[in-house]
Amino acid sequence: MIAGSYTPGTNLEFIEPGSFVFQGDSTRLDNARHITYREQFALGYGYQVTPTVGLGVSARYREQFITDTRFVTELGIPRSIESLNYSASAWNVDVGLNWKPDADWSFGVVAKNLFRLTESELPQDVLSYGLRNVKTLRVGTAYRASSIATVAFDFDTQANGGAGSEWLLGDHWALRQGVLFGGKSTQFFAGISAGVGFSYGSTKVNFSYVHFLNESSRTKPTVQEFLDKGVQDLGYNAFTPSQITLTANISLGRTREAWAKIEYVQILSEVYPSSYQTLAYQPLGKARVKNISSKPILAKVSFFVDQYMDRPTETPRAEYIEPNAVKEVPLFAIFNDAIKFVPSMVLRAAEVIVKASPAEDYDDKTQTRLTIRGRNDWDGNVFSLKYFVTPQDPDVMRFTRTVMSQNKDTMAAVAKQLEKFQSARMLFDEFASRLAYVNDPKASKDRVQFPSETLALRGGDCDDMTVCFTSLLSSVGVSTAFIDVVPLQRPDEGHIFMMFDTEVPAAQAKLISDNPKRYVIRKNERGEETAWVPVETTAITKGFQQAWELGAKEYFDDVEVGLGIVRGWVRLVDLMLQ
Amino acid sequence: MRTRILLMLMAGLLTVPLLAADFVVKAVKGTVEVRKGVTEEWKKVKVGDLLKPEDSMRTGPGSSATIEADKRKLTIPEMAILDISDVRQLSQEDFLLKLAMQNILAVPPRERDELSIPSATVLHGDNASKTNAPSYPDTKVGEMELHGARVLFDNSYFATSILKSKETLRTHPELKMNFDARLTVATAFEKMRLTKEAVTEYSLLAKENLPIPQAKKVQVALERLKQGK
Repeated sequence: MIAGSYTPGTNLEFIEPGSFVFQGDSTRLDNARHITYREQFALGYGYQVTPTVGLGVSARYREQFITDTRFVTELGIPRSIESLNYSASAWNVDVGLNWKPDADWSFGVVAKNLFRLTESELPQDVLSYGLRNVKTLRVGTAYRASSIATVAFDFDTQANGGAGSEWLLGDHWALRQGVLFGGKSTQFFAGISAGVGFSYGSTKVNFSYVHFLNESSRTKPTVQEFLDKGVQDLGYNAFTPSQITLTANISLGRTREAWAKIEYVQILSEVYPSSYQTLAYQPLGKARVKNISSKPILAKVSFFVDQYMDRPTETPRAEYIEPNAVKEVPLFAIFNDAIKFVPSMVLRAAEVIVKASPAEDYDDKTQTRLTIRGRNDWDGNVFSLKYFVTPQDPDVMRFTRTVMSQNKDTMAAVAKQLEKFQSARMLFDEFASRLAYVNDPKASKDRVQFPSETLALRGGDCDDMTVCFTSLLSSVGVSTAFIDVVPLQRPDEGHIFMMFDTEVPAAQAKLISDNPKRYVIRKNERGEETAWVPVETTAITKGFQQAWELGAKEYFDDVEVGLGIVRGWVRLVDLMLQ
Repeated sequence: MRTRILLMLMAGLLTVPLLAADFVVKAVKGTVEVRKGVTEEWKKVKVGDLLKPEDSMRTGPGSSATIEADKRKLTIPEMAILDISDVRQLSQEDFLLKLAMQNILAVPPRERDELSIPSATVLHGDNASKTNAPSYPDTKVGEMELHGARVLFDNSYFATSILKSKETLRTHPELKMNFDARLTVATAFEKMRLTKEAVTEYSLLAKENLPIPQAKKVQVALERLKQGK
């Protein structure tokens, strides 16, 4: 932020009286010395380094005018005087730092007169009457004791200091009072002050009165006192008289006051392109946000990854956070279609932004790393496998339409109850005639082919075949489920196969088989019990009948004999049809 | 050391009945058949044949068989079907979970924010005049399975007896009036000290139009359970 100020009242004037009386004619010549200091213009620049730390630099334009007199002599006898005017000007530069660790405390330090940009200097013989430019360090702190009261204290290396308090009266008014000490005054407490402030939007008006306790020593110093103490700060020095000050401040530009800070961001998982849509609903990470303002805030956090997102994704609802409190806000991400084409794992920078104040942009932002896996990568969780099932893929649709069309006559002869069963059988046998199972445990571990890839490559491993056959069945309206087997003692021997709903009512299940071990009776959403048929898709070369037998045997061994579902090492994942 | 060995032996003894075991056919009378695993065919069985947990055994009219495993002997009377995997004890936890299996296996309701897999509509041709294939409510098979469940009950395999009976009654609704089988289920619950479940079964039976001897049994059992005996 850039700021400028014009303070016409910031000037001090000293007069060193003097006169000369001529001998004989009693002529009196006034030779008083006038010393004027001004500091009317200032420029400043502030930068918020972090939500809690701000840096500032300012330059004050200081002017000095000294009017001196010189006697004009004739034959060694003063006859008249002439005025001599000296002036000097310079920009004194200060640098400051403000730290606001939380909503209640703030600390500041400023180095005054750190350096000067001199335009002109006073001549040597009047230099002692000029302004002092001693490098000074000033430190201060403020503490918000309650929602309406704040106390503050500061002092500097020139032994000037002050303490005071501010009381808020509603949203616009403030009362202030304080004491001043040091400042080369004759007593420790130099003065007391009181004031009132009014603020509305970007406008602030302050009115204050400072009363110094030993007025006479300030307003009528001796020349020696003046020269000894000097003037460093025009606002408060050893000769400042009691004064009334009126200041008006209008902020014409934007001001950024951070209300919230991101303490840290944690990404909970890698992003798998196959299931990227879930991240619109399930958090992929969280941001710990702190309210660093003095009022409760409503914070919204956004997450953005360039190239793979069109715009930042905001949290669905704003989080209410009390002053000084922290909250973990979940991060969501709506990725665009570009993520579906990531060939292999990439690392991307992600931007996390928190917005709580009415500021136009944000309160705080930070960057984190996000790992995006390749489009075929799989996290090993059977629940994620369903996102590889693509029944509406054109290649899948083409395959099933062709098979169904070629077997139209056969299907017409099939009993109504067995339509789904027969469709599955035909699709499997056609699937088997075109594809081959590739036993590659390494590939199956974390990589899954999309059905169109399996159909194009004419083969795949256990996961690929299961996903592909499931997609084929789903595309003709057959409900399916994955059967995920992870033996407790041998997790490395985990295996996935599938089953499908024949929609044959349980009471008519003998239409499928006399042996109840060849099917599973399950209740559907309507509460009707139907027969589901397990299929071991890796037995593809053996045809449907044997793949069914193998699937049924595995299911019976794992679920009925091994109690796998009851003991939690066999899971069924249903693939919902729209 | 001795204590550890004793504990290990006890643990071994406790775990044996929990596992489905291989049985050997010890005696056969009349028509006794076995169906291996998930095959469709029933094949005649002879003394000395090995029966795996995935096998089923069937006895015909006037037939019986005796099988043995780990010194456990079981005689299957006529007209019964027995799944070998049912000849085992289940822990109460496993049993109760298996009892709830019907719900565990049910297709879950769709969650609102779950991503559904889209499916295309498909037409299977235009022959809408197909006749329904005849359904075969095999009451006899159901009755034989209930007899098999009774064999399990008689040999103190109460958990698997209940599971088999309930499954059979579920898949053969026409056997709902087989009060003997339902009474066996209620009694098995009682034997397992699952009083609440037993009371539920007896109460359901009490609402039926039972023959006098069975009605009396049910009444006595309910009284007994209410008194906490």
